Amino acid sequence: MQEKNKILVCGQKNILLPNTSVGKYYEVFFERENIDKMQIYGLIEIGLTFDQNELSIKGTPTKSGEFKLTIKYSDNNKPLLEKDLILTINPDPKSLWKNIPSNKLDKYWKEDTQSCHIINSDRQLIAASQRGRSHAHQGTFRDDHFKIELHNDFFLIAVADGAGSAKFARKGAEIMCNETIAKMKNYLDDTKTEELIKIATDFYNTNDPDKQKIISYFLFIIFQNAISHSLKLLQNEAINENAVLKDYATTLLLIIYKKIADFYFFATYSVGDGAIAILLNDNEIKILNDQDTGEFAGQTRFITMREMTEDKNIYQRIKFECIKNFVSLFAMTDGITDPKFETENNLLKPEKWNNLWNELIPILKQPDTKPETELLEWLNFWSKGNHDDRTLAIIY
Amino acid sequence: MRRLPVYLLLDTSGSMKGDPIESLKNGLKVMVSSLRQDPFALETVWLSIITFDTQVKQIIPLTDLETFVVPEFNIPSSGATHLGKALEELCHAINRDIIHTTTEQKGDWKPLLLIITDGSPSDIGIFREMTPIIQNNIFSNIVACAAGSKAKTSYLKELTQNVYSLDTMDSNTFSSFFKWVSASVASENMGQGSVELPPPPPEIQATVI
Repeated sequence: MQEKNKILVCGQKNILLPNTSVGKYYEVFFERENIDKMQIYGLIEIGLTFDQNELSIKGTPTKSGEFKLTIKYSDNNKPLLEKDLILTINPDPKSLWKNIPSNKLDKYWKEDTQSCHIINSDRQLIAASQRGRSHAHQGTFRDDHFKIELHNDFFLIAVADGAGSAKFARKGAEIMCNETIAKMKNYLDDTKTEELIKIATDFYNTNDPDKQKIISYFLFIIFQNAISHSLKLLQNEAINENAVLKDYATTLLLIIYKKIADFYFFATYSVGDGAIAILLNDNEIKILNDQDTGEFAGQTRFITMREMTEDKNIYQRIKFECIKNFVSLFAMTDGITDPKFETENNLLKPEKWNNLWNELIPILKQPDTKPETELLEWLNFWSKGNHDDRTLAIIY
Repeated sequence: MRRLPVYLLLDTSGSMKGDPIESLKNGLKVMVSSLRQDPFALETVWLSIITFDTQVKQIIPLTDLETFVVPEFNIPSSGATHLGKALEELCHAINRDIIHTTTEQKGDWKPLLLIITDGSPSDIGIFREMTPIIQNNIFSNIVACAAGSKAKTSYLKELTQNVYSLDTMDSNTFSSFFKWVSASVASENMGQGSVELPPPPPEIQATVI
């Protein structure tokens, strides 16, 4: 009887060898049947060997392509038979990715990477954005973008992921980040800052739902103003370019952070995928965005969709927290959540966030280096099938 | 890992016997080996083949590109061209194979469909019944190819805007067609909505509706 996975030779018209890949260990056995002699030619050139005792091909292929091998064998002492054996060796995907610079003459050209590091008295803010391999391979642009600012002791963060299907998404992401943060900065003057400190402190000390509403309304005004302002600019940009708003489709994550007396204040607004999360301690994670994901991969919502300007919609997307202490805050695009978390459920697991944090600590806490450059380098990590742009911002 | 499933519906009716099916097979080999040169495709593309003549069969279940092997085709000497039934089988296959995104799992990219026929459906009733179902947002793109002089484009046009005709069914024509398809698969790599296909090579005519 034929053993599982052993290759039949005698009486076969076509002998099929299973495919393999460069750099992957390969091992196949031939069915012994009544074979008294067997040899296979053409293996050495591709890094494989034939074992006459075992009747096996073993080794780690070094070349990719479709190779025609020759098998010679005899069974039951009959004369030698000669047949062709086809072996397909896939390339190692890592070797196939090209890194083509994007076209600097394009009207919407932007740098393929972006990184920034801000130190404040209490905490640090770092962010980096890296063009994905899928874009680098084709010489197309990075669609992700971020903007971070230190203003009145606030950390302001915007992270955006332009839609792959929208032709000017890179500009949409850039405008939404830059202009929204600029407007928020403008709004949070000394008076408004004082007001926020007061209402946040009131809420933190009393946990009164009415005070919560006051904060929600305050945040609604600031986010609503900032978003509608930058969307208007985006709309104008579209008109000037004879394009439509949809051509600039992008997701948007916004964060306002401030240390107030003995607690930390976080407010967020989000449209689309990606994640905002606060690692409170080893065992606790707080997710501050809802996932706008579809049934199929890559489907999400964008800030440029008509319904996003509705007051109710904006209101629903705002979250805030007053927290005694925390380890780190993360904001990231799906270029990072996909490889590092894979599923929505995993985003809720503190151990997954801890793993990520532990991976990042050595990069962020190294003295005498530029951590933003290190973070940018880290964003190149290898993950099969995950080659989207990656953007990550961290408060720590 | 998100997969990009690609379904191939291939006509194996009697008229494909001999040179045409051999050319188609060569074309498939060209497509597979050029997809293997594309890193995105190599990591994400999964292929399935459904053949249709009088019988309809998923001869290759959804298989990753690394292990995929172009099969031998058995062509009956005569009989019907059950494209309608093939679409029905395709729906079953989709329901079986495709992974949707939930909180527990990451879904596939929207699948692609490629149909190649050298005739017209013998089961027009089922074909028309299946058309709206197939068009209902299952695929990111449907490409139909009418191969040879007897192929009718009119039915295919009921199914998709992307109908292409090949005047001849020789190896070169099929090869350039499949090369173009694989370039399109590669350009689809972000899987978001339907991406416009690049212009086909000169030996392929785009049929304008």
